Amino acid sequence: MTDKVPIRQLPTGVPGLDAVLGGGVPEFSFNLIAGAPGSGKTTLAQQIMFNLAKPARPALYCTVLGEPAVKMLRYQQQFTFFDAAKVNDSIRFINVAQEVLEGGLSQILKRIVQEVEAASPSIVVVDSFRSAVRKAEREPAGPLEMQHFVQQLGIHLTGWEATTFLVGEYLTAETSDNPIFTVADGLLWLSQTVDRNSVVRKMQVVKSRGHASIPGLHTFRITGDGIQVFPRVIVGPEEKPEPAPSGGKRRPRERVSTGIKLLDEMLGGGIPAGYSVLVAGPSGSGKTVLATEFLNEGVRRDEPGVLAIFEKRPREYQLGAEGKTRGRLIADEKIAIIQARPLDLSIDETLYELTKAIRRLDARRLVIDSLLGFELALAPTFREDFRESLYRMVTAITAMGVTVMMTAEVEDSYVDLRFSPHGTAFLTDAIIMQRYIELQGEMKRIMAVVKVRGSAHRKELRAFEITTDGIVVGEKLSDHVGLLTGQPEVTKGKTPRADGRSRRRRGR
Amino acid sequence: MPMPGSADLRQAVQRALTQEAGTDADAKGLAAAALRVYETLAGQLALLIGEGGVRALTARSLHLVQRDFPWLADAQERDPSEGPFAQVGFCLERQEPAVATEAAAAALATLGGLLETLIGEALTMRVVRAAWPGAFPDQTQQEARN
Repeated sequence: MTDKVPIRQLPTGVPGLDAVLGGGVPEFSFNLIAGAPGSGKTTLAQQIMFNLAKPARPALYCTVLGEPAVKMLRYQQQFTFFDAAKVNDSIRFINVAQEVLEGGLSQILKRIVQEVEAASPSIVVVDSFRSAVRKAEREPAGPLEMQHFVQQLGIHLTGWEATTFLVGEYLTAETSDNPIFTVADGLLWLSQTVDRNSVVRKMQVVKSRGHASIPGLHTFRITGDGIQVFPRVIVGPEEKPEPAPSGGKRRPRERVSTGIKLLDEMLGGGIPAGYSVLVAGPSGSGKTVLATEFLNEGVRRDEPGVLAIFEKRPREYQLGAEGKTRGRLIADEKIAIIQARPLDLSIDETLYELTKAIRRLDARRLVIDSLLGFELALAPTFREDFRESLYRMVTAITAMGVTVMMTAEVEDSYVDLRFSPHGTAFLTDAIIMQRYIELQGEMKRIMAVVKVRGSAHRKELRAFEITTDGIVVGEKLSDHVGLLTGQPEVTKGKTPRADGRSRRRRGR
Repeated sequence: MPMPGSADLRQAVQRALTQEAGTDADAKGLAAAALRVYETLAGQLALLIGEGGVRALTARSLHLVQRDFPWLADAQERDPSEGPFAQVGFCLERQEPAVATEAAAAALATLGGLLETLIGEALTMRVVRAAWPGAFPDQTQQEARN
C-alpha cells in the first residue's frame, strides 16, 4: 500500500501533448487553456473533449459569450476529431449566454452546477470562460465575486469528479493577481507569433500541479486533424553516449561505410556508428553525391536511410535511372524522403518528422541536405538560435543510434578554412571537407577528412572525380604543397594526374 | 413546391406534425400542434446554440418560408414578445387545414434546412432526433428493445 494518492493521467488524444504534459491531463484537475484570440484554444479543448468523451465518461461543453455556438459547431466539425455521433450522446453542449446577461457569475455558476449535478459529466469545458468574467470585472465587487466564482466552480467540479477545462482569452500581462491562475491546477498557454512573413504557434505549460511537464515553448500546428504538438527536445548530458568505462578500455564503435572504400580508409575504417558527419564544400563539389552514396551503401547493407531534403526539389532525386531505382527503394521502405515545408518549420517539428520516418523504417542512416537549406526552411524566429536547436536535434537523432550526414555549403576561400557558415562544425563528430583547386590549368576537386572525434584518421588531401559510377577517390596529393592556399607548388618533380594518381614530370 | 432540407429531415417534420396533430385536425388544432413541435425543437436547439441563436434562425427561416406562403407575413403584426413562431399559429389558424399543414411543415423544414446548412446534416439530425423521438419509429423500437 502507498501513502500517496494515485493521480490517473488521461490521454488527451492530441499528438505530442501528452509528452509535453508528462503523461496526460490529471484526472479531476481544474485547468485553464489561455491565450490570445485565434491561438487555438477552442480547438484544443474540443480535441481533448472529443477524444475523452464516451458514454461511460460523458462531457459537458458550456458555451458562454464568446464565439456564437452555431458558428463554433459549424467550424469545429471541419476537424476530423469532431464526431457528430457523440453530440447529445456522450457530449452535451449547453449555452449559458442568457445567464451571463441576466444574472452574471452567480447565475452561470448556478446553471453549471445544475447541469453537472443532472448529468454527472466527467469532462467539463467552459468556453469562453473569460467572456463571463469580463462582465463581472466591471462591477464594483467584481474581483471578489470572480474569486468566489472561480473557487466555487473549482470546488464543485472537482467534488463531482469532473476534469475541467476553462477556455479564456488572456494576455500574458494579466497573469498576476488573477485568482483563476491561483486556483487552476494546470495552465496551458497558447500563442502565435508573427515574424516577417511566417506565423509560428507555440504552447507552454505554465503550471501543472502534481506532476512534471516538459518546460519551455513547444511549437504546434493546426491542420484538418486538429492540433499536433511538437515537444521541445531536451538533451541531457547523459543522452550523448560517449564515456569510456573508468579504468577500462572503450569498446570500439561499430563503423558505418560511406560506400567509398578509400574514403572509409581515410575515416579510419568508416564513420563510427551514431556519429554526425559534416560534409562541407562549395557549390557543385559533390556533397549531395557523397551523401547519396552513403544512403545507397546503407541500402546494400540492409541499413535503411532517411533523406531530408531542404536543398533540391524532391522530384530531382527521382529523375533518371538512378531516380527510378530510388523510387523503388522508397516503395520498398528502404529509403524515406522528408520534404521540407518551407519557411515556417520549427526544429522540433522537423525532428518529429525525422524520428517518425526513422522509427517507421528502423533507419540507421540520415542525410540532411543541406544545413543552409534547412536553416532557410525554418521560420525566421528559429533561425536566431539555429546552432543550439541543431545541436539538440542532431544529439537526439544520434542518441537513437542513427548515423547522420549533413551537407554544408561553404564558399571556397583561400585565406581561411571554414567548414560551415554558422560555426556549426564544432557540433559534429566528424568533418569531411571538399574543395576546388586549380592544377595544371584545370579545376579539380579534392577531399580530406578534417576530424573524426575520438578516432584516428588520415590527414591527407586526395583528388576525386564524380563519374557515372559515383565518386572515385584518387591517390593522395603528396607531391604538392599549398593546395589549400589556391597556389599549390609541385614538390619532388612530380605532377598529379586528373584522377589524382601521380606521374613523374618529364622535366621542366 | 419542394420542401427544403434533407429527405430525412422532411420525413421527420411530417411525422412529428402528424403525431402531434393527428390525421383530421382542424386548422386551429394544427396550429397548436405546429407550435408544440417547434417548441420541442427550439428547446433542444437552445441547449446547443442558445436562445439568441434559436431566435435568429427562426426569424430567418420564417423570412424564407414567406416567399411561398406570403400570408405568414401577417404574423409580423403581432406582439413580438410572444416569440416569432408563436405568431405563425395566428396565421395558420385562419387557413384551410391542408394549406395550414403544408405551411407548418414548410416552416419547420426551412428551420431544419437552415440548420443543416450551418452545422451540417449529421448534427442537425441528432438535435431533431432528440427533440422528436416519436418521429423516428426505428429508433424508438430500438430503445424499447434495449
